[in-house]
Amino acid sequence: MDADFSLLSDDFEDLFCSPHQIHLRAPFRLLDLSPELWLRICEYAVIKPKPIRVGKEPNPKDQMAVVQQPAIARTCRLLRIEALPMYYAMNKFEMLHCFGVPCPRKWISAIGSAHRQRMKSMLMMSSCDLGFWEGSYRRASIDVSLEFVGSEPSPVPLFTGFNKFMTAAQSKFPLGGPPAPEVTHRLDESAWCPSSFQEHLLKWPGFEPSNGPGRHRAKVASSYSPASGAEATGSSSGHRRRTSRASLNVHLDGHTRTQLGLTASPTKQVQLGTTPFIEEDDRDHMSLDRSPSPQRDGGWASPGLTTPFEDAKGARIRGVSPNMNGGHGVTWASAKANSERVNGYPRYQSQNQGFFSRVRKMSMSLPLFAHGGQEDRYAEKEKLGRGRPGRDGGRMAWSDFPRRIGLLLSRRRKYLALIILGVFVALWWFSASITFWYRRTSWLGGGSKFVIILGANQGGGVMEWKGAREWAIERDSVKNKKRYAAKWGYELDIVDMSTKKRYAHEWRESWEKVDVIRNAMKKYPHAEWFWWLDLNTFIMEPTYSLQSHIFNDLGRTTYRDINVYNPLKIQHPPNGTSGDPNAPHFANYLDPESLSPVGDGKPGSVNLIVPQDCGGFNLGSFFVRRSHWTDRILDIWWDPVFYEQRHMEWEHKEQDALEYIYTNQPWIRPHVAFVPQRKVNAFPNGACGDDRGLPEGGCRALKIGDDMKECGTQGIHYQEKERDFLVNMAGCEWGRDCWGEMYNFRQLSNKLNRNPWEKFKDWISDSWNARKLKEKAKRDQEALEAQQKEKAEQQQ
Amino acid sequence: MPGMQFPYPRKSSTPSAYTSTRSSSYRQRRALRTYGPPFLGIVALLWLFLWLFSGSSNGVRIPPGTPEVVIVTTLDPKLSEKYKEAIKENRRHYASRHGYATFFPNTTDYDLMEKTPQSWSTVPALRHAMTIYPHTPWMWYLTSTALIMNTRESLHDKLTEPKKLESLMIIDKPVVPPDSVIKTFSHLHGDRAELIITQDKEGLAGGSLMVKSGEWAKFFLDAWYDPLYRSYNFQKAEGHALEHIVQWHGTILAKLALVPQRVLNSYTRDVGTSTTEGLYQEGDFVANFHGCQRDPARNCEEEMGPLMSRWRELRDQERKR
Repeated sequence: MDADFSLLSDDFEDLFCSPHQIHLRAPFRLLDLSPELWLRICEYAVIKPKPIRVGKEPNPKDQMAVVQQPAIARTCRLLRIEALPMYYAMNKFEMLHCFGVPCPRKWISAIGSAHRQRMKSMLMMSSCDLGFWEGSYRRASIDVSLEFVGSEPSPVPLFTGFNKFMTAAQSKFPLGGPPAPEVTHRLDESAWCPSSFQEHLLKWPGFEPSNGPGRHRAKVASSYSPASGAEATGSSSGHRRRTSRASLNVHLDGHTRTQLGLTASPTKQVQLGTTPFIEEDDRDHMSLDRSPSPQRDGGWASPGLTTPFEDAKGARIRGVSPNMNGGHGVTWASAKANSERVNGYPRYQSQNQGFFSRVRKMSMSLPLFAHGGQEDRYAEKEKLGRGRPGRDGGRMAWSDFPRRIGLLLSRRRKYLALIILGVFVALWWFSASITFWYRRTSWLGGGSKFVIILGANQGGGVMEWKGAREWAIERDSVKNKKRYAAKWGYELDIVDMSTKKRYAHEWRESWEKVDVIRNAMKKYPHAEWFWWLDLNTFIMEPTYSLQSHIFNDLGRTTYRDINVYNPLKIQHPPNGTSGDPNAPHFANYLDPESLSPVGDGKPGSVNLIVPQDCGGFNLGSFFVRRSHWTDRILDIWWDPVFYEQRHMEWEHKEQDALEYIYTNQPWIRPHVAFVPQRKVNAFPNGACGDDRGLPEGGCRALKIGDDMKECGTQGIHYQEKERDFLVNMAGCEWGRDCWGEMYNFRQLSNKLNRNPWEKFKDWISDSWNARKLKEKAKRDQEALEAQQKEKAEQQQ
Repeated sequence: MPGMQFPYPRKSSTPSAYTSTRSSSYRQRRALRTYGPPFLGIVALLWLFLWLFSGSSNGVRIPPGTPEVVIVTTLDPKLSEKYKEAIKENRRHYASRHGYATFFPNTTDYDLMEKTPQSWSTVPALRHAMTIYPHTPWMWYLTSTALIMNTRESLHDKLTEPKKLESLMIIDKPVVPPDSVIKTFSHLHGDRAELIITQDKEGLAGGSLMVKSGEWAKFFLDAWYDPLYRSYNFQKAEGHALEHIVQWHGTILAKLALVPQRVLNSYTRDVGTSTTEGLYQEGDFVANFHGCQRDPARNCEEEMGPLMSRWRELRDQERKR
């Protein structure tokens, strides 16, 4: 930063650095100044020239910078009392809401009502309409009034997602290629929310803005790129900083930087650095100059991401070429095509394909094998010549066994023996496919009667916030289900749940579960049960088949009566009144079957099997059976009149809607069964409260009157000891670590399901390690003792 | 040939184990031949009996004397006793002639929630009738402002017989006239229709409708009666709610048979723009004084007077015969 010195006045050194001045520069207290002065300083420190943005930053560190109160307000009480009101009253705030990010609302509730009212009003940019916000603030019990200000016409600078960058950069710079330049590429918020914004003005009651809403939106340039050079950036920053008293000139040369291999942010020439604003601006700017991670919770480092694959991925990310920067040479059409290519999830094909190819491979190797069989026979014959069978063996005995085999293989029966041998060999060779065929056939194992529907690619599509972790989770989850389906001969339908503007009436977005199930029913016309699975699930025990686990004995594995476990306090039987005990008695018009807590009590009438967590129904993993009844419920599940009246309250969409129709439409109840949560949908600790653990001796040792803990119908959390079937990491995207949980459960599942050989190996290595450790400890102990002895001897 | 080497040992004089097995298998075969066929016959007979019995126990046994149709009319308790009695008498006469049952609940019998129009009681009343007469195949709801004028034909002959219904059904017609995009199914079978209704000029005419009882009917009535529809303030209350569910839910539309208005629900006065299509003529089945209760300028009792006396005349004629 040589340039700074050239701007200093000539007598700078005299003024500040001469020896006789130094003693004067003893402790100086801000509050010693007169109040006007320090208040003025406060103003400088607190009031920002440009609107302060409250939004979600990709990196948690940046996030801190965004929502932090000014530094000066954190020094002492007096300054805090003075500076904070100034900060909130004199600054302009802007709020940026992106899909699925609750940050702005949290911020508003966090600063407290006193500060909020000082702020008078703030500008909010979001893709949601007024109604959404009114409701969401009301629910957070924040009193606001909203006003629609305008909307920014689309398209905003388009950024098609980070993942494609990574792959593109990867192909351009393979890992051993030219040195990967540091990413200096800046993402605008607009890249995170690529739909057009609406602007709303938030106001707090009791205050009127003095001079109208200061409507100024910082036009965010689409980040600077090396090619556009210094002028573009300079002008854009000038445009942004209307009120600033200094202008900032940024000089930037991406190419030189790349060649020199500099790793820091681009070189900047700052002129005229006289006011603190420059520093503020500069810092602000720098903080954005960071390579953002596309994850919502930010950051690349994580305990789970230590596999070599992930490392390679991380390296790739860092290797993004600056030339690939957003906006440059990316047209709408090309970006769209790109995104389609990436999002088009390969549909999982049915098993047959692999099976046939395998058969072909086997038939190629058959002749060789037949030869081997013959040799076997010769070997047996050798034995035969020696041991001619005697006649004395009447009863079957193990000692008799070889003789009998010899008999079988006597010369007269050699062809028969050959055939039998051939059959056995074939059975052994094809055992995998025979088992598969058996399990799959509808009248034998019945596997093809079950379809697993896995909602994948959640969050993909137009919203595009999938990052490396999301991909990794998806990969693991899909692999897990594929294996399970292949093992038991089930169908697996992986459906693309990416957010699409599919409907003419856009508000039905993300209510696709119903349509997906219907499509699956069409696609697999012979299947009977359809199992919906969220992506964040992991089948811990692939050795359990659905039949043996649940469906062979539906009457026992499920319960029909909602009163058995009723977190929603649904009244049963429905009595036709509005639920008020003091209401006059009305005629109960329902038939006995609807009034009965268990319907007709026959397992055949169960059409929907739902687990209940601590808060009611959970649709993370549920079963639905093909039937007329199911057609009807899928049809009535979503209704525009219900939706219009309730969509603000129904935060969990289909789940709440199902609870509602279950409660209010009596025809549903006789055909719904509930399954204990732990049976098909166990939660990890932290979801739905804490794990209460098992009683001593496990669930079987329970006596009546004991604390049930996690046993029975109210059990929710995964129990390793009970070998629960499936884990659903529900809600992990809100504050928990999805990938970490998935990784741990995968490891645990592998560990629990080791085969004896693996267990043996692990046991060997474990015991070896333990022994080594013990030996080492012993040696250390001995060395220590020897040392002490030596010392003692020396002292003597 | 002494000393000659044979490749095999000679057959010994002791009988080998195989001969005995051979002979025993022969005996077994013989036994099978003699006892096999009768045994198979017995098994087949047993199976046949089992099949027959299970078949009869599977089907729901309809107790004798079950009425074929239940006529449901909801009555406002505020109406005059004389009027109510006349209405009931009108229904009972038709019912007794064809062996049907009648059901007259009050509109206040059911919990409709606050601010819900009384007319909503139609829906729970139908569900109630289904509960009381669980084996009756058809429920016929007839509004209290209508009279049955022609008692000669039974509903089965007139309407519910599948072939007859198929000939009457209006297919591919907008559900709500004149230009709803949702049209009645063009390939509906007569025996699959479970809701028979007519249409006036404004939309579906809920004053007279038939529902076939069963699982579908439960679904249909419960969905129709949903609290969120009741609280939605549809302008024509349950009428609009019905039009709504018919148009939005395919599983309901698929069971809907639309028949010409005069088959089930002739109006004595015109509604909306005038054509005489649905107007009552002498000899029609039902005369519906549509809207006489809702319109304060009209008086149902007075309006009904002439037709009521005409109906009594017809009834007396019949009795004399």
